[in-house]
Amino acid sequence: MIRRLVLGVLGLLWLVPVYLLLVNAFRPSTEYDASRIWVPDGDFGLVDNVRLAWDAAGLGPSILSTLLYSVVSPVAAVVVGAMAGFAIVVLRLRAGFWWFMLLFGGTIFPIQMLLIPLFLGYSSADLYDRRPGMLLVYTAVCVPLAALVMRSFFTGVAYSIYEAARVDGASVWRIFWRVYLPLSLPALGAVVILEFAFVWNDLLFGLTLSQTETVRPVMTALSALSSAYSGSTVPVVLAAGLVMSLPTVLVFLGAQRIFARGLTLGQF
Amino acid sequence: MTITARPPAPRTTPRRRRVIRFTPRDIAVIGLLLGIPVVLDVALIWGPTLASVALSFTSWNGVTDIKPVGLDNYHNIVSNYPPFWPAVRHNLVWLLFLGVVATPLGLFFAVLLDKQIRFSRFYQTAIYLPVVLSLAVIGFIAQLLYSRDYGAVNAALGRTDNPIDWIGDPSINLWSVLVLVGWRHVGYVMLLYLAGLKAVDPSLKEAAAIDGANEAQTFFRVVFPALRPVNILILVITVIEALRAFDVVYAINRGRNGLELLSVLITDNIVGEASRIGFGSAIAVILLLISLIFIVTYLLQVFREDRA
Repeated sequence: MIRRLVLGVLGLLWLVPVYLLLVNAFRPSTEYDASRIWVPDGDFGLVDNVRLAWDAAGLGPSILSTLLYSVVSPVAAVVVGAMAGFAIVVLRLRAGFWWFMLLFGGTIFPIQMLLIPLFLGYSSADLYDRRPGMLLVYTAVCVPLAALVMRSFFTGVAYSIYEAARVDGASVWRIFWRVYLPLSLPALGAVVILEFAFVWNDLLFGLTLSQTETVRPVMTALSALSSAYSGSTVPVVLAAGLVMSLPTVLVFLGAQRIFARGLTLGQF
Repeated sequence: MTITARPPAPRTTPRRRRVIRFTPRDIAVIGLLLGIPVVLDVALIWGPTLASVALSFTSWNGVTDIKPVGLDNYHNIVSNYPPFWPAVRHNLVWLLFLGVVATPLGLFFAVLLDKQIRFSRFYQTAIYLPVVLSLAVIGFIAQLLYSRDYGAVNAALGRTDNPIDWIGDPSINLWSVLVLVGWRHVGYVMLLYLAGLKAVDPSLKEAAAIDGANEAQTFFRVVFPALRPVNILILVITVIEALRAFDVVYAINRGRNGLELLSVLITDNIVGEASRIGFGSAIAVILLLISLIFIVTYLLQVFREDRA
């Protein structure tokens, strides 16, 4: 009983900021008023707000690129991470732990340390302000988490599967591609969802490695919209933020079941 | 799924003996399996990071020649760069708040939600929702809640005559921001602990109950120690999140006036107008060292316990 009460109160408390975001994003652009900030407005203004923000910040061209980055890079990263996990755990490579530390160690570097050298490298390799370059960097930063989860997942898979496949004459590649990868789909799915949100919400790489509207990710456009000089009203800015958050929220809600099943963190 | 649930089969063969010898093609494949991730990681993460470490010993504005200056940057940062020490303090307060308040709260939610309970999915969603909102949007929410003249908090407190400036006042704005950051961190921690709790063998709990342990004892003596892999992961994530924090303060006021953080100082120096790349890189190296101190200390302790 107490448990339910505590959860009920805290659960509602957790939704308060989201409630405020929703109420004020749906308010018509000119109706914003501090004294009624808690009260929903009778008029429906969301569509107009979104349209205003869309034009003011030039969100249109950015959105498709961002979608491309946040789908392709995580998918590539989990396959690459699974490759590493498979090699280290299932094939029992010598010094596997150190290979793993090499891959995972990168997560503790401050992202800002990467920016200037990446910018210079990208400029000289003609990757600056181009989509392949963005895809590449997002894939690389997504790999460590994928390697971590897949390593932990493969540790829980019975080794006899590998032995049986070897005895049956399957090649290493075939075992990876046809046996272990399909087996790990739930875990792969969970990681893709986590990293989709990460790439979608990235600001720093977007600011440093891209420039044109068609290449730069949508969060950089969004953060420009909120600056004091953009001249947009509060409901417009909120509506833009709301719409930009929709993909990650929907993906998470739709995939909660995969999440619950795929992300087991038993072994480490 | 039954396959994955089983524990790894006991090894009957010696560790290094392969079941069947690898063909040359297999060896090439193994090279690729490990080579692709390693090359990607070295080229795009380790390489740039090490280059930044090298740059931290130089003076460079991105245009003229790179001039080696030894430890000058480090010396200047600690002795005559006013925003440095406040930023260090803010980062440490941030870490303390996430570690002492937000992370235990996330664990608490996970434990409550791990039991069969009505609306469990609803609560999970409510608590996890902030995690998928982007930090730019969290910045908007901060304005909405905390703004002095039109903010929801002042409106709810009825302080319209004598409003509190929750994000403009440098003595309290760090705490206002931390409440929102914690709001987000709790969901992340909860999700990871839920995943960890599912992996705890239920028979452990049953055995503890049969031995007469109460609920609290079972949790602290049996379940929590079994969660150690997740604990390590969450510790690492908490340290990284606290020391890397950037987007929220950047979205609120570009990280000034009481909201200075190391990451903001780095960004200001290397991509800002001043373009002091060597100097900014040195701050980044200091930040990296601080993270390493926390993580290595903890890992050493873990390994020592393992051996004892």
